[in-house]
Amino acid sequence: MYYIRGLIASSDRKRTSVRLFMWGGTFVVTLLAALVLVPFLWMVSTSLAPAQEMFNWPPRWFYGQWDWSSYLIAWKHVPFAMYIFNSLIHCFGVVTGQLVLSALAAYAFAKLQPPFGKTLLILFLVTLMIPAESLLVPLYLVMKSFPAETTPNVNLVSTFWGLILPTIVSAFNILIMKSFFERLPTDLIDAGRLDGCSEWMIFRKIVLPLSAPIIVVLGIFGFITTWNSFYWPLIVLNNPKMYTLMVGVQKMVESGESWNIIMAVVTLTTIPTICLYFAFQKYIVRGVVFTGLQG
Amino acid sequence: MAQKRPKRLPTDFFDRLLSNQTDDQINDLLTSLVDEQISPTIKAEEDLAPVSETPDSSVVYRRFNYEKKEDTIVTRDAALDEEPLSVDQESALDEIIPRTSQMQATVQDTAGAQEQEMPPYHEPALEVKLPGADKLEVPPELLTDEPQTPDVPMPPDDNLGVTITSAPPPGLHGAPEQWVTETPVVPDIPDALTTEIPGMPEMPADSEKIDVTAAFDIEKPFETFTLDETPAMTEEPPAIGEPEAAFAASVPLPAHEEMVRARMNARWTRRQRKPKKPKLAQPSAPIAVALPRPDTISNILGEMDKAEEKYRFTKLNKAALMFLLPAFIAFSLFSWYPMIKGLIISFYEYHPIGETTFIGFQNYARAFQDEMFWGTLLHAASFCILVLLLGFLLPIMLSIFLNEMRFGKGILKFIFFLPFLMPTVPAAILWKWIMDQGVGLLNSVLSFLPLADPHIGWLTSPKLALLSIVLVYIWRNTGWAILIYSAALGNIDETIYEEAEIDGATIWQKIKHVTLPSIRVVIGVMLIITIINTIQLFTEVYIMTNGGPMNATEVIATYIYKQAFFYMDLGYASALSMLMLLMLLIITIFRIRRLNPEGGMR
Repeated sequence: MYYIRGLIASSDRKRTSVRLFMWGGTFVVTLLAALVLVPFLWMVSTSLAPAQEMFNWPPRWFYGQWDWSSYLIAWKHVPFAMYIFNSLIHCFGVVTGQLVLSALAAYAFAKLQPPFGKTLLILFLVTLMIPAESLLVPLYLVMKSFPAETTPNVNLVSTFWGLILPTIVSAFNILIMKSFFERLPTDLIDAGRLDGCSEWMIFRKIVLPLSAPIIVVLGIFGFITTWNSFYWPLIVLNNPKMYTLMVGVQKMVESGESWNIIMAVVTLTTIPTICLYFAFQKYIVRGVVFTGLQG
Repeated sequence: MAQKRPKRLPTDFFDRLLSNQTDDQINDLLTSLVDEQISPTIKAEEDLAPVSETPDSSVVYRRFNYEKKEDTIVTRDAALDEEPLSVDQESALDEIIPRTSQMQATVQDTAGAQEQEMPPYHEPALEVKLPGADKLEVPPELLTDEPQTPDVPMPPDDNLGVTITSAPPPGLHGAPEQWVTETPVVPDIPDALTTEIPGMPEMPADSEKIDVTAAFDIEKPFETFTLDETPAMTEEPPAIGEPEAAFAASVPLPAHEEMVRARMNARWTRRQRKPKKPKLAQPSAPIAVALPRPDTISNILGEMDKAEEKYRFTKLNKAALMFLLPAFIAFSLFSWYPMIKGLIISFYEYHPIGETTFIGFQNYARAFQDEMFWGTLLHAASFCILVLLLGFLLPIMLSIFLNEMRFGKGILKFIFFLPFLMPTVPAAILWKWIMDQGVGLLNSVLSFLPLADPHIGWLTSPKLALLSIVLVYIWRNTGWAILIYSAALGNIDETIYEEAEIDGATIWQKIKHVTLPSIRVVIGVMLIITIINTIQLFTEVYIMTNGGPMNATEVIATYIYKQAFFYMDLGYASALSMLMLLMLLIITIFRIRRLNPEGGMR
């Protein structure tokens, strides 16, 4: 395995002062990492503590034995499975919608040269600059009488449609996919055209299979973002049976559950995303870096 | 010039051909036609007339109009415009008229066009050279072995330095290979006279030489022809519009082009009915043979581009619009329409129940008089400054150090990244529990220190609440920033460090003068992302303090939420949203300007 040299030269590393600094620095960084980890350990510890010890001072890390009952209560008492189910529907709908819409639009922008393409693209990308938080009030009103108050309308508040539909627009996905499609060779598409493919067939049979990597990345990203989303579900969902996991957990905290049960729920909520991270570590890191650098 | 009237297929030829059912009948018909009527005869001397001197460059063809059953005169462009023959007619014609691959065959039919007006092309500028032809050193065997008619000379059967002849031997059905002999071109001998072979037109004085042997070299069809100045070249470039016509009009015709033209004429003059389906393949011969000048080539390429653009405009645009339609609908319904609606509502006194009245800018005026609104701005600003002070340098330092570590930097990065993986809601709840005033972990840890109060209200004291949220924010986002900075550090070329070492730089100097400038752009981006994130902050504040205590942590997002869904004052909430949007837009535009000095979208 080759070693990419960093800032410090190999000869410098042998110097005592540098060695001492490295050791000291490693100690400090490890300490910081431990500090970062402490809340997680405290979370697990509390979730395994007996309920009657919750208000003892000072709190202890370990009460002699693990008490798994809080997890059982969390699973049974809190409609946890229902929340997860709702969250999964939410994520599935949003990710599917986002991917379909943005893949189609991005392909059109990248390869088909639509009329007024530049104007449309700018109109799409302008929404990148607009924070979702500032649109939530008008969006709520739109959803309340969809599509408009003056026309025959339906109330989508507290439905899955109202939950999913406003978040399927994703200019960021369009931007990423567009730059990906632009790198696909046009000759492939022209070959498909020569062979008599319709544009839809070209997209379906040639472009989509080739763009599996970007779809996976954006899909995972959309899933995590949707799984973590809180503001919009909080606004649009009034029916406790439709709460997503995040809203449900928050409502549970508001209802004043015991802290060990809350911590059990929090642990259960955290585990899926960390599992997802382990499964798709490469994609997630790449995506995080990319989104961070892009904006 | 006495020219024969061209022989033409009978007008009902195709009807007869298509109505006859059996192969035998068709064969009979065709053979009779071939034998009696349109068997192409050899060009007589007078047929191969020199180039027409008609000054008029507009070309006229005699065409048979099948509607009127009479000959009409059409211009060449109009003839070219006509739709090609149908496949059936095409194949039937192929039976009758020899294919263009028989290069030397000259079909007599073309003479019909010359009866009144000469075709626009110039005769092939063939220059057949016989070395020492002035002395008529023709080998005796050529003269003796095969007696030749003076009109139609036989092509040489041997290597005599004769490049090629344009007139075929009598009897068209002989295999051309037997009498076409291609020999290498003899280099020009200064004294050599150009000798006319009978049946060949006179050469224009300054015509260029065409290496006919190379004319059919498929490998380099565009290279061997040296077309410097031909009469056709002096014409105006053809009008843009029909690439095919542009080709034909601007191109001097090589030797066998005449035959091709005859063939095309034969097709044009034997149109019977409009084709039912478009012909699939156009005759490729004219394009393969035609040799436009470079500017003509660019002309043609431009025409092709235009044709492609037309295709794109007609077909691809429809597809593109269909592809864009779903996203367009979604964006208009869930992005643009709410934006406009929010802007409109912000000018109204808007409650879910009750009157909706237009009040102009009163909502905005109210916002600027609202102490709470200014409070939210102040909190956002202080939050931002605290985050930048406490947490902005930390990931930079950590990532630089982690990059130098040889062991365990992966696991450390993962540990730092873990809080970011935790969704915001459980993270905020967890910290709410840790910062609990009564039995929280933080207080219990601090109680070991000699402090007066073991029960610090991290989230309940107005002075500390904001700082607590800042700590949580830093805890969550440091690992994320480390990841990004590490990626940026990995992109630094390590040879720059080596160069710095050669110049005698110390470690700190390297950090100061190499590392930090290298990741300057990323630092700028992160700065602006941090500012935007702190302005948009909602979830942490909502869960941990919900704006309290005593509105000490009220940020703009939570204030909007309260106004909209607690006080149900949607008009005011929309006005606040618009103000928040304005703030973020200013920052975003600043960021774009910063990233891209020329402006524009990224």
